[in-house]
Amino acid sequence: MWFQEYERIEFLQIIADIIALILGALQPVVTPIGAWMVSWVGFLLAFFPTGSLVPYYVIFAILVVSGIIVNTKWPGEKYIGVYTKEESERDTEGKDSSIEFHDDD
Amino acid sequence: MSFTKDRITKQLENAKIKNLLRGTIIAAIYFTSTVLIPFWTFSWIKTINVEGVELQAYKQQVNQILFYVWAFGLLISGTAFFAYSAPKQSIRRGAFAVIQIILNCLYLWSYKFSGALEIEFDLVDLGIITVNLTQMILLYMGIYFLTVILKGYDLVDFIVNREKIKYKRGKK
Repeated sequence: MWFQEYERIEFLQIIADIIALILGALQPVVTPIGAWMVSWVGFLLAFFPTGSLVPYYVIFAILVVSGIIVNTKWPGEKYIGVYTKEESERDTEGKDSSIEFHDDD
Repeated sequence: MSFTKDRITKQLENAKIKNLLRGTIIAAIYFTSTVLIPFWTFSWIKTINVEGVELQAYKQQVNQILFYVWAFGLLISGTAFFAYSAPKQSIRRGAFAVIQIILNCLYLWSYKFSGALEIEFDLVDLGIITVNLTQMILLYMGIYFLTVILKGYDLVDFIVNREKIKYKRGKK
């Protein structure tokens, strides 16, 4: 039988026992927290529109478009230590700099 | 244009592309795992016939869970795109990571509408076996709470150690 073959794989049983042990140890602490989570999640779910998916598509589109705009404008790499103020002044002597050093992300 | 300036401009361009590519890949993974796979699974469940009889009783529940799968799946994927296309250790990435975990909690809990938390198996000549998964979901939710704490800690860390993070970035 297929389950007799399965029984021979002892290491699976050992892994299952270890996971059960960890979950069993966590359960008295984690389950009450989970129950509390469920209470406020249930409360919050009531505020989400259930009639139509359009608001969710709109939010998705806003997140993607704003993500593209924000993360393109402020990619977060600054290399201030590599490109020092002295180097910047030397490079742009007598002309406007095309690189701006923002402190934002 | 000097060599240094040229190099920095190129690195900035690379960072943009890298960020957006990372965001797209992670969002695609989330979309597949939170929308496509559950959607196909529940759509298939909807079509199941038992000896030629359709399971009408479950159709309403399945429709409801399909709605939540799409709704929260879209929100999770969008948030994942925003979070993972943001630079590492940035405040916006930390903030969106927290939002994403909270949305994951809502998504997970919405599965209760599927009736999947309590499954009955009718064994011929033996009786009925009921599997109640509520305790397991509570355990999961508790673990999610711990994740929220961790992500919250990350966010506070990014805010408090802002200058140190910027200095490290500059050294790279």
